[in-house]
Amino acid sequence: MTASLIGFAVMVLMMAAGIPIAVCMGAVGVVGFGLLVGWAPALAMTGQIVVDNMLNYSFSLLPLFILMGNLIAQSRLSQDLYSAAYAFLGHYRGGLAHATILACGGFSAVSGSSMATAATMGKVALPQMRRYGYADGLAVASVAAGGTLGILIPPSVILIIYGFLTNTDIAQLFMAGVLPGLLGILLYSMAVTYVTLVNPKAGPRGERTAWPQRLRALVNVWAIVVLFVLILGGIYSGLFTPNEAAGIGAAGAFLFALGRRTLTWQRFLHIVVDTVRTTSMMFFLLFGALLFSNFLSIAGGATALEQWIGGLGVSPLAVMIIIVCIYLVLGTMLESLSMILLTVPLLLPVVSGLGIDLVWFGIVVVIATEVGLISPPVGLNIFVLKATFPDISTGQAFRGVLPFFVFDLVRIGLVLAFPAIALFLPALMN
Amino acid sequence: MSALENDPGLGEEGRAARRLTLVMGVLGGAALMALMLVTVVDVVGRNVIDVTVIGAYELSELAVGLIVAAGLPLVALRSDHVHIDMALPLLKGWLRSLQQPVALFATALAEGIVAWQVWVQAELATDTQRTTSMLHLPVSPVLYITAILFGVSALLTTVHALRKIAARRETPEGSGT
Repeated sequence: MTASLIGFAVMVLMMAAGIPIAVCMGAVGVVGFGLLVGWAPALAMTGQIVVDNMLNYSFSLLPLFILMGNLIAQSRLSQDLYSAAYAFLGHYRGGLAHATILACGGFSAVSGSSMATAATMGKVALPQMRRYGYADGLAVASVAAGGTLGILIPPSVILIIYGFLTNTDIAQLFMAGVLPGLLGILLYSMAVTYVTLVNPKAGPRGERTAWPQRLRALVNVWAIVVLFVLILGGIYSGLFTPNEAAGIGAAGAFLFALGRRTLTWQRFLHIVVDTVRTTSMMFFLLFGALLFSNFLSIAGGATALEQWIGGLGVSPLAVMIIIVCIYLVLGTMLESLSMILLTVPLLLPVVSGLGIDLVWFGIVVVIATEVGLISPPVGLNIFVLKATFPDISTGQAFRGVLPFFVFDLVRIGLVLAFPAIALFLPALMN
Repeated sequence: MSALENDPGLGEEGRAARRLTLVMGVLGGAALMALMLVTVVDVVGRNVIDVTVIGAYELSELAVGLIVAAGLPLVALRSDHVHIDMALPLLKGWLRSLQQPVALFATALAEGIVAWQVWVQAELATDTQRTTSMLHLPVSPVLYITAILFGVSALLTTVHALRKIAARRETPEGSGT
C-alpha cells in the first residue's frame, strides 16, 4: 500500500510539472515495478504490453470510429443537423439553444469524441445564436454541454477504452449509453428552458418553419440516421460485432463524404493524418495506464483500497456516490480519457468486490467524466470553443454552464437511483 | 489541459516536417484503409454470400499496429501528448524555464525506452519465427518498423527539447512559455 501511495504522489507531482500523462503513468509503473520486482522484468513488461496491445484485434474499432467521426465532421453535416433541429425547435423560446443540444446529440451518434462534437457544432451554432442576440453564456454553454454527449451516446471512444480496461462487453456498454444520452438531451433542454424562463432575453424565439421545409430539412440528415441505425442496430441484433460495426461505420461515412463531394485529396490526407495521430496518442496513454495498473497490482494498492472500503461496511450505493464525488473533483483538473485510465484500474477491484454492475458503473463514470468537460477551471469544451471564438469570455461561459452542471448532477442522481436507465437496453440484448 | 506547444523553431524545417507527415500519413492511412476494407468485405461477405476473408482477424491486428507506429512520429512532431498545464503558472524563475525542456526530455526518454523494448520484442519474434496463425505472416517486420518509428519519435522530441533550451539561451529573460 505504501509503495502505491508513493507511486501515486510521484505521479501527481510529475503531472503537475507538465510531463505528459502517459509518461507519468508509464514511468511510475516501470520504475515502481522495477524496484519491487526487478529491472529486467520491468523492461520486458514494457515491451510486452506495447506489442500485445498494439497488435490486438479488440482495438481495431478505435481508429475506425475516430475515422468515422472525422469524416462526418468535415462533411459539413453539422450545418444540416443544426438546420433540421432548428426547423422543429427554433420558434420556441431558447429554440436555437434547444436545437443546438439536439444537433449535438445527433452528431454524437456518429462521433465518439466530445471535443470533436463541441468544436464542430460550435462553428455552426454559435454564430447563429449570436446573430439572433442570444446571451453568450447560454450560447456557449449549450454547445459545450451538448458536446459532452459525444462520449456517452455511442459510438464512444471513452466507453471503448473503459470496456477494454474492465473487460466489459463493448456492445453492452454502447447500448447502455443510449438512454442516459437521451436523458442528457432532455435535461439539457430543461436547463435551456430554465435559463430562458429566468431571463427571456437570453434566448429569443426564432422564426417558425413551415412543415414542408421541416420535412426537407429532415431529408438532409437521413444519412446520419441510417449510419446510426446501421451501427447500433447491427450490434443490437448481433448481425455484427462492435469492431465490425466500426468498419461499416467508417466505410459508410467515407461514402457519405464522397457523396456530398466534400472530400478532396488534401482533406482526405488531413483526416487520415489526424486519425492516425489521435489513435497513436490514445494508445500511448493506454500503454502508460497499463504499466501503472501492473505496478498497482504488484504493490497491492487496489487490493488494499478494496479491503479498506470493504471494512468500512458502507453500502455499494454510498461507495458509488463517493466515487462520483471523486470524479467530479478530478474533472476540474484532468481530461476525460486520462481520468478514466488513471482511476479505473484502481477502482475496478473495489466495485467488482462490492458486486456493482460494471456496465452501470461505466456509464455513471462516463457521465461524471462528462461533467468535468464543462467544469471550471479546465472545462475542456469551453476552451475548445474559445480556440475558435477567442472573444468568448471564460467567466461568462462558466457562469452560463452552471444550470447545465446542475442538471448533469440530476442525471447522475437519476442513473444512480434507477440503474435500469443504463441497464434496460443491455438487458434486452441478453 | 492541452497539447504541448508547437515548437516555433520547427517552422524552419517545415518542408521536412511536411514530408514526414506525408510519409506517416500514407503509411498509417494505407493501414487504416486496409483495416476498413478488410472489415467491410469480411462482414458483407459473411452476411451476404456466406464467405469470410481468411485471416481478416490477424490482418486487422497488423494494420492496427502499423497505425499506432505511424502515428507516434506525428504526435512527436507536434509534441501532442496530453498533459496538464494547470499548475504551470505556479512555477517561477529557473523552474519555469526548465519545465518544457525537462518535460520533453522525459517524453523522449520514455519514447526511446519503448522503442528499445519493442526492438527487443522484434528480435524475439525473429528468433522464434513468430507468425500469424492463419496466413503465417511474419510479425517481426511490423515490430521492427514500430521500433524504428518510436525511435524517430524519441529523436524528434529530443530535438524539440534542445530547441527549447536554445531558445532560452537566445532570450534569457524568456517568459517561460
